[in-house]
Order: sequence, then C-alpha cells, then structure tokens
Amino acid sequence: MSGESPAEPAPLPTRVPPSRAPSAYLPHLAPSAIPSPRPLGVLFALAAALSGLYGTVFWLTHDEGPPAEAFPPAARLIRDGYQSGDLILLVPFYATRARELLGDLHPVAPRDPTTEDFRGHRRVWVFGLFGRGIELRERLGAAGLVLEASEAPAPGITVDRYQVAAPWEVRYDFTAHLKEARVYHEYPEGRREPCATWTEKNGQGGLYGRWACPHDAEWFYVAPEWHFMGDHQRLCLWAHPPSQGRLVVSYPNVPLTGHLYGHAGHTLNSSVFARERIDFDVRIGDAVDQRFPIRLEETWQPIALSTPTTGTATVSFAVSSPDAGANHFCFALDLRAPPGAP
Amino acid sequence: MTLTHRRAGWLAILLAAAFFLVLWKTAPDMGYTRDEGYYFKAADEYSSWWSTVFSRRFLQAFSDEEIKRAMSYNTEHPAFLKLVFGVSHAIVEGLGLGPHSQGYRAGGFFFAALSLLATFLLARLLVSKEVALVAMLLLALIPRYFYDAHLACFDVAITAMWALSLWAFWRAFIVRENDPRRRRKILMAGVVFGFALATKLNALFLPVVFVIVWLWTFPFGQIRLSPGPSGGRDLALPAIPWVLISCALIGPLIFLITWPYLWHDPIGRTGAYIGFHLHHEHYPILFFHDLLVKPPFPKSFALVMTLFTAPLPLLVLGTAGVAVSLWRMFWHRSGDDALLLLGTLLPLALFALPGTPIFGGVKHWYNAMPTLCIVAARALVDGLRAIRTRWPRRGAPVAALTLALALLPGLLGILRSHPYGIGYYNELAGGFRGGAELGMQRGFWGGYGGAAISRIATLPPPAQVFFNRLNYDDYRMYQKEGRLPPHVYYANDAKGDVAAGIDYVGQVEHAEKEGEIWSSIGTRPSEGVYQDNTVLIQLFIRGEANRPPK
Repeated sequence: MSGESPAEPAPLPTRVPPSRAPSAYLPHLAPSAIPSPRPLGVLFALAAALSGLYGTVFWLTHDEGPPAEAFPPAARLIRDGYQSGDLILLVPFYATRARELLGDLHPVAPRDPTTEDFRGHRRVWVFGLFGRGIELRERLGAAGLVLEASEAPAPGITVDRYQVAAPWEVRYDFTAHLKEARVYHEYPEGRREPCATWTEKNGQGGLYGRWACPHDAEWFYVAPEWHFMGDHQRLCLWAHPPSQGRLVVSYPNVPLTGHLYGHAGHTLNSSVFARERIDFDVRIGDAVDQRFPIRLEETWQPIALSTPTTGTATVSFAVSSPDAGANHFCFALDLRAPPGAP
Repeated sequence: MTLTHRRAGWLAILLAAAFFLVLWKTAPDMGYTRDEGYYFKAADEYSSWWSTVFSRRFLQAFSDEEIKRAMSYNTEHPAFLKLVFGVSHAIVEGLGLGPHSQGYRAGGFFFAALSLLATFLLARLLVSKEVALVAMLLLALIPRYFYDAHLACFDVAITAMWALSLWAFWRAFIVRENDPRRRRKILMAGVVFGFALATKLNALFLPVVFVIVWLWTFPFGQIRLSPGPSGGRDLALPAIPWVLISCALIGPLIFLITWPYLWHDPIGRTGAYIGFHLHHEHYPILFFHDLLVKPPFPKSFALVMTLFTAPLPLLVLGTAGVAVSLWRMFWHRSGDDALLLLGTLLPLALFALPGTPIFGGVKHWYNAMPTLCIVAARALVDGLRAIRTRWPRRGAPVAALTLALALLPGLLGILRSHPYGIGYYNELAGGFRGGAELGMQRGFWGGYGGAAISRIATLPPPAQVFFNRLNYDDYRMYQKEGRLPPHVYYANDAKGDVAAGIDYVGQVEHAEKEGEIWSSIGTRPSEGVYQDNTVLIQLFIRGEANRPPK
C-alpha cells in the first residue's frame, strides 16, 4: 500500500476477469479478488512460512512426556520407601498418570505445591514430569524442605525425597475423630437440636462416617468427604451452614498441644454459585469464639490458633452464613505440637 | 497442467469426498458425545414419522398428535438434521456398511464435506479457484473442526449451510439483470437460506450480514427527489434486492415445511424455540483457571479461544486477510470484503456480548471459519504469487514449501490429537499441556468416556457403572452396538454401590463427581486417557481403587 495518498484512494488494478468481478455488475464496488501489492504478498508469504515452521517444529519436537511403561519403576521407588504420614506431590498438576500406581496413598497435585502444609508431614516425595520436579527443588528448599535423595528412574521422570526440616507432630486430627464429636443445630434463639444420627456412609457413599441432622439430612450433616477445594480434592469435614443459626461440631476432651492448625474454605462450586461468606467460629474450652469469615473466593484458607499446651478441653467448630444457599463448606484441622514439645 | 475452472471444481469435489472418507475411517475411534446421544435418540424418533407417512395412515401422519408423538423430543433444535441423521442411518444400516452410530454420523460427515465445498464455492465466487482450494484445506485442517466434523451434531452442519447461504446470497445479489439464470439464483438463495434456518439457530443472524452488505453497497447516487404525480416531490429509493425478498419469503417457508412440529402452532412453537435459546442455561467453562458459570462473561472469550485453538498459520494469515478486507471494505467500499468480514466477525462478536450463553466452547462460532479460511487463503495465495513473480526461477519450489508449511501445523495437530481433538490447543498455547497450564477447559460432552468402554465391558456381572458425562443415550448406543454387555447398568451417580466410575479429571465443573468417586470407590484409578501426559479422564474400579496395584 506504500506510495498511496491517504486522502485519495489509488485506482485499483483491473486483473480480475470481468465475467467474475462483482465490480462488473456494481461498478462502485471493489472486488476482493484483486491481489495485494507484491511487497505485501511477500510479507504474507514470509508470515505463512515462519508461523508454519514454528507450528511444524512445535508438533514434531514438543515433549510428550514419558511413556506409560516408564511409570511403574518410578512409582515403585516411592512405594518401597513410603512411610505413614509421608506426603506425595505430583507435578505438574495436570500430569497425574502416577495416580494409577500411587492413588491409594493419596498423592496431591496442586497447581502450586509450595503452598502445601508441609509441617504436618515428616517427609515429602515429588514425582515430577517435564522437569518440574527439578525446577521445584529451589522453591521447596526455601519452603523448609531438605532434599535427601533424588533419582531419575526413567527418562522424563524424577523422584525426589525431601525431609521436612522441622516437622510438627499431629496429635489430634479432627477429621479422624468425628465419631467422638457431638453435632447439633443451634437455632438463633439458643435452642439446640442434636444431629445424632450416625451412619457409616458419608454423603458421597464412602465409608467415612456421618452425623446427620433430623431434617434435610441429604445435605445437612457433617462428614469426612473428598471435595474440590480450589484446585484439588481434599479429604475434609463437610459442613453445610443452616438457613438459620449455626451448625456446631463439638469435640470433648481434646488433648491440647498449643497449636490448632489447618484449612477451611468453600468448594469450587460453592465459590462460584453461593452468594455469601461463611462465618466459621472456633471455640476452645471456655474461651470466646474466634470467628474466621471465609469469603467466597477463599477455597482453602489457612487457619491457625494458639491453644493451651496442656490439659484437655472441648473444641467446637460452628458454621453459619448470612445466606446458606449453595454454600458448600469444608474444613480440615488438627492439633499439632512443634519439635521438642512434650 | 493448468488449473482450469472445471478442474478446480473436480478437485474440490475430490477433496470433499476424501474428507468424507477420512471421517468415515476415523470416526469409530471417537466416543459418543452427550449431544450425540440426544440426537441418536431424536433421529430414531423423528424417523418413525416416515413410517406413518408411508403407510395407510398417511393422513394421520399430519395430525398434531402423530407429529408430536414422533417429534416432541428435543424441540430446541429444528427437525431437519435429525431427519437427515435418521435417513443416513437407514442407508448405512440397510446397506450393512457400519454400526448404528456410523449411520447417524454419516449425516454429519456429509455436512462436513459440504462445508468444504461451500467454502470452495464462496471463495471461487469472491476471489479465485486457487484461493478456494487452499481455503478448503485450511478449513479441513483445523483440529477442533476435524473432531466435530465426525459427530452427528449441528455445528459443522450449520457451518456448511452458513457458507452456502453466503455463496447463494452473493451470487444472486450480483447477478446481471439480463442473466438467464437470474431468477433461479434468486430463488435458490431463498431455498438455501431456508435450509440454513432449518439447520440451526445461527442462521437467524444471516439476514444481519445480508442487510448490512446491501446497505454497504447501497447505490446512494440513485437516491433522488423526483417530481411526484400530485405535483410534489417524491423520494426515490433504489429497489430492495430480489434476493433479500426471496430470503425473507422462501426462507421461513422452508424452515416451516421441514419442521412438522411447527405446523399446528407455528407462532407459539417457533416462539418457544427462540425463547429456549434466549434463555439458554450457562454451562460452566474453565477460562484461565477461572470457572465461569454466569454472566457477565469476558468479552474476549471467543477471540482468546480462537487464538488458542486454530492453527497458528491460519491465525496469522487470517489476521492479515481480515486486515486486507478491512482496508478494502472501508477504503474501496468493497462489498465482497464486507461479506467476508461480516461472515467472519459476526459469529465471534455474538460471543463477545457479555450475556451470550457460553455452552460448549469453540464449536458455536465455527460458522466464522469458512470466511476466515478464505481471507487467510487469499493472503497466502497472494504471497505465493508474489514469490513466484519476484523470483521467477526458484519461486515455484519456495511457494510449494510455503504452502506446505502453512498447512502442516493443522495436519500435525490432527494427527497428534485424534481421537481427543476436542481438547486440542494449538502451538501458541502449547498443545494439550499448554492448555492445561493456561487453565483452559480440557474437554466437553463426555466423548472421552468412549476410551473406557472396552475395560468397563470386562467388569464381572452385574456391574453398575457411573458413566458421568457420558449420558444414558450414549450408553444405550454402546449397548445396542454390542460394545457394552447387557450386565453393565447405567448408574446416575457414584454414591451408590457402583462397580466403576469415570472421572472427567480436567473438567473441574464436575469435580463434585470426582469427590464422590474417590469417596465411594477409591482414590486409585485403574486406567486413564492421557494426551501428552495431560490427564483427560480416569477410570476407577471398585476393589482396585482402594488398594495398591498388583
């Protein structure tokens, strides 16, 4: 188009056979069949060649990752060395074929593995593809993990074993002790309605147990369940807030360790479909409630609270919301002690 | 050998036929999608109407009761395609050419081939036969389009009818007054537009293209004030083109004729049809790690998805071609460039409206692809011509190499993504892995589940299976074709005592189902579908899923 005056359109070339040119019929129209000027054409050819070359090279050379048969020896490394309480990370988050070999050990594949709660584990395994395990080493080091062993059991796979520098000891897991809890619906006026129906099956059909309330038992219950908390399935305590009042889960005689620790949040669907926050109240013994407002976008919010370091107390969790509709909530908390604590 | 007009036409027919055959050959690898399940069923039910038409109960066939008996299912789409799927199924079954699904899908293959031919016709009319052939190839080599071209669904069919309508409109719009075939072309434009209306809702937007193109090419010089019969002055306007009148009159008539369900209550039922789509539910979709479930949706959605799912050369050349068309349209008031631009940009622009329901990704603006391929092919052919002119000696091989390079990424993308092309992301996004990294939707409609069928078929009886996104009608088809034994039952959720469950891992909008599967069956999948090691689905089997592998 160079050399043409912007004010006055240049006359179009007339290389189109008149029999097919629309301009033959509607003379004021310019036909699209007229070729672009040659310099522009060369530019188009160059763009086609370069983009085509890039695309061709991409598809011919891009890393598809290891074949299926490369996975068993790598998984065996982890399975042979696995100890109860170890955490297994699969990276990157979308490459989870290893779950076929390790799924019963509950590996996690979050988008950002460094945000995991490492202090609750003694060791961390990283099953890495596409070099992501190697990329992660520095960041995991900064997160307090010490690389103990590293292997490349098959091309494209790395298996790293880390020691958590100062692991804490989980002494009481509220999810595991649900059966010992008392669950009730506390109405605004203070009346308490027990949710005292215990069934072995949770709301998802798994044998994890469940305390169900007398009405709306299909959703109004407390149970350990797998829920998609932001970007990953977590085993946590499902607790739907009631329309009025609070749903309370109360654990008697809990041995206190100084630190209550864990996460709580909306399931992914709740974060996009629910309308209001959850108010999550934690009470330890006779202390006043500590309220954690969990906003809709908070899907796995860290929660930490100091407790006395000795003795036992009743620990209660209460769930409520200004608008309970579609408000799917889950939490996983424990009491843990730092290294060296009695 | 010179590429004559006639040879180009035959070559186009050959290419379209080859596309049909490739689809025929590769379709059995692909699982049935949810919407296919509905259309398999609809095709059967709708076709049952013919048995009344060709019987002694002929007159009863036209009663509302009989029509509703056959056609009251899936009234959110016109009947035409479902009748076509029924006919193609009857032909394939009658000739013993393949299984049931192949029969229904053959109707889809036909429209896929037709979409290439329509692109050819439109490009040949507007630009040249060379551009027309290249545009066909560019369209055929869009991996996502290739995936959808296999299906007994509506989106590729409306793409064919959209392009065919643009062609029929334009050739009737520019026809000479003294052309002996003028009347036929004008009538044909109305008929083609009518069949487009009878194919899918997108055709309702064709008049927008037609009218804007007419106004763009409006002969303003013919507007004048002339003396009127009463002594005053009349405003004389150019006549409305006959093709628009043809489309306005014949189009709705064809739409009505091909949809018997409308006959007894045309206004009420057409209103319900349009009303359904005006209030279509919003299906969740993952977009840059955000799960979008309700409006307002990002204005960039359609553009970004196109950017990540069309082969890079098509994007580059298409952008160049659109720029050229824009320049010609505004600088030279080019009518055919206006047609090409509107045909490309309108379908995308509709999805830029924040309230437009998004329910299934890129297939809903496939009708933009024929014209996008044409402007891209025009830019490419201009480039090839420039090479040959600039370097007369070495130009030919360089031009051939350039053409090959422009087509190769699409071809390689198809080869690397089939039969899971619905999850394809281009080289710009980084392929399947790149799509996952970017936080884009990895799948739709349950088609991946077909990969788990052979394993599910081996489960000991009785086996109740949670098929998840693979719906009951798909399941019935697998059973009907003998791919699933009778002892495999369809479970509507994973909470019960199910023997197995399919987890659509990349589709986080169904993550609740994943949680149910993990809880109820176990957390270790027995097998899965992985493309470039990116997980698409995993199959969990009771008894295996909660213990280590053997």
